[in-house]
Amino acid sequence: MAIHERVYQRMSAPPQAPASRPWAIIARVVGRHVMRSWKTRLVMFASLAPGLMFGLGIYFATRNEESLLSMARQFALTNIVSLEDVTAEVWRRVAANVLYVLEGHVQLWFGLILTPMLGATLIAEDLRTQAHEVYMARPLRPRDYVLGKMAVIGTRLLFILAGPPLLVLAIGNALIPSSFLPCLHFYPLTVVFAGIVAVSNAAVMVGVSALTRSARYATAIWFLVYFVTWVVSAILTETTSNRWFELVSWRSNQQIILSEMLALEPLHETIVSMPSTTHTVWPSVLVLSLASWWGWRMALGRMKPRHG
Amino acid sequence: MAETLPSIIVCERVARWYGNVPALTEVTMQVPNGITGLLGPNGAGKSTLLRILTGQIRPSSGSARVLGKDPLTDSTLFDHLGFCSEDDALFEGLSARTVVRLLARLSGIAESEVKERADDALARVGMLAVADREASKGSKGMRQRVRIAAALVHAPRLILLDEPMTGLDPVGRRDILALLENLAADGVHVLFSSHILHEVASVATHIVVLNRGMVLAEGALSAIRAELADYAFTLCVRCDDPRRLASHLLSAGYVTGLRFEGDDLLHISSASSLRLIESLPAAVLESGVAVNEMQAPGEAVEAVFQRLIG
Repeated sequence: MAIHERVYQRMSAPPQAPASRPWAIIARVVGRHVMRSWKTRLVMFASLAPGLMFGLGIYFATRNEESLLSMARQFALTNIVSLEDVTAEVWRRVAANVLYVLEGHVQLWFGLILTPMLGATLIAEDLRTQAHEVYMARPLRPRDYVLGKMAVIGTRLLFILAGPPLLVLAIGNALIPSSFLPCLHFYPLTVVFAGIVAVSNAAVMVGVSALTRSARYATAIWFLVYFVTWVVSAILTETTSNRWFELVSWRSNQQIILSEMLALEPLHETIVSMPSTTHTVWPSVLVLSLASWWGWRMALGRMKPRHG
Repeated sequence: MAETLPSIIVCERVARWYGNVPALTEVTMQVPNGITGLLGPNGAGKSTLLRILTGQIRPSSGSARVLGKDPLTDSTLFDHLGFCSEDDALFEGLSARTVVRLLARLSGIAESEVKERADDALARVGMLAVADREASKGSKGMRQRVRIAAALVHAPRLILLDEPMTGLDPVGRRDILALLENLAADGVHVLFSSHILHEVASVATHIVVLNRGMVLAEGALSAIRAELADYAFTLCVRCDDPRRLASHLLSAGYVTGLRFEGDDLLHISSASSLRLIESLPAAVLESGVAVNEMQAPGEAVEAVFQRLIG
């Protein structure tokens, strides 16, 4: 059909429906493209390794009753003589601590690294090459564009943050009798926390990408903010003993939210630092929300028609 | 036959300032059907005007309507509008086919039609054979064609192209111009900007001359030229005795310069085109020279343009 025939066909036809979920179209095509980088694929692949290692650890622990009892004793804060003494609450605490270590520490590192790898170029490159104008000259709202770019980062972060913990949880539940029901609520909580991190990281990353218009600067700012806030928070918290300074750190805020969601309780011997339990989760939610809102508005502002 | 609209683009006192710098100053114009060339030197405000017409930036004052719609508020306009920006705007790492298909999907084309429509658009710009190559790594001409294909894929009624010939070799320029003519023949309205004057003149049926953010002239090239009835210009006369003819012209006050070239060519520079054209026949008769050829190089579009922009 010649182009002019299409023109007349469209002129006489009812208005064409806009693309359904255009953000998903952008996310799919751009996401496929960013995954062509071998470095990104390598980090994604490596992010699955801790889950496999934890899973293997649980497998070997369950092969030996004494190892399993030792693990239960560590978390139970009570003397346990046999597996019959292990209550549902003990298994819940075991699972909560394992999930906290895996999702709130190990996987967060992968999230930290992967976020700029996936997202630093997403808006910066479009702004640099003016490719965003090509998008905006389509029946597309700016928020669809930003949402599509966020989804590129968010979906992959969701996968690496939730996938390994869910795997470990499933392995544990499969190998340890009577552990499934006490840990059932951890499945959705794991996904919800991964979603919170995915959305907040993605929103801030697209904001930084839009702000700097340079992938290199966006990456530098991302790591700088992450580590500076982390170090400053740690120093202030240690020197003043005021746990509210934990709110300064992006990482600590995410960990506080996870620990609250898992109803985490301290262990006899901590293998990772535990967040404070002296304040509620809401200040951390507020900090992440404000930062995410800033990122969203920054990216959206670059796409909207500029005033003269 | 193309749809008849009174004006496909209407700008009413459109102004755009970047801080204290005016990019457009009260641009009022009407663009009719067919191919319209937006002509102006670098920095004239062409890209700013096209960005306003595509809703990328807001005018500081005034209003623009494209196909009867406000580009800032009516996103249905983009169902009928194709835009090819000046910058080398292509998505890094994607093949030409992927880029065109992506934009087809974003335009709401049904999934079952996307492949066919994308291939049609790529074929139209001669890119189908190399459509699987990474678009952003192709030559300038290839990238330009891909962007035009992307602008065409949803069969728009109007296509806006910002400097589509920039960076192309002569063959590429010729191909793009032919493509624009084909589009117009198929009923697609075209507005393209350029500072290459003869290219605009060769295909455009309507010209808007822009300089320093102002519309200096608007209309068909011949009409613009007619508006400039009297102006300084140079005439080249090839005759058997240019020196004798020159002696008859020397006394005329409007002649500002005479230059001989070879034995038979005389360049006459005049402050008044009308007076020179009116009086030259008499001077030729009086001098008795035999005129073989007369040329007015100043009548080329470049000269008109130069006169307009001062």
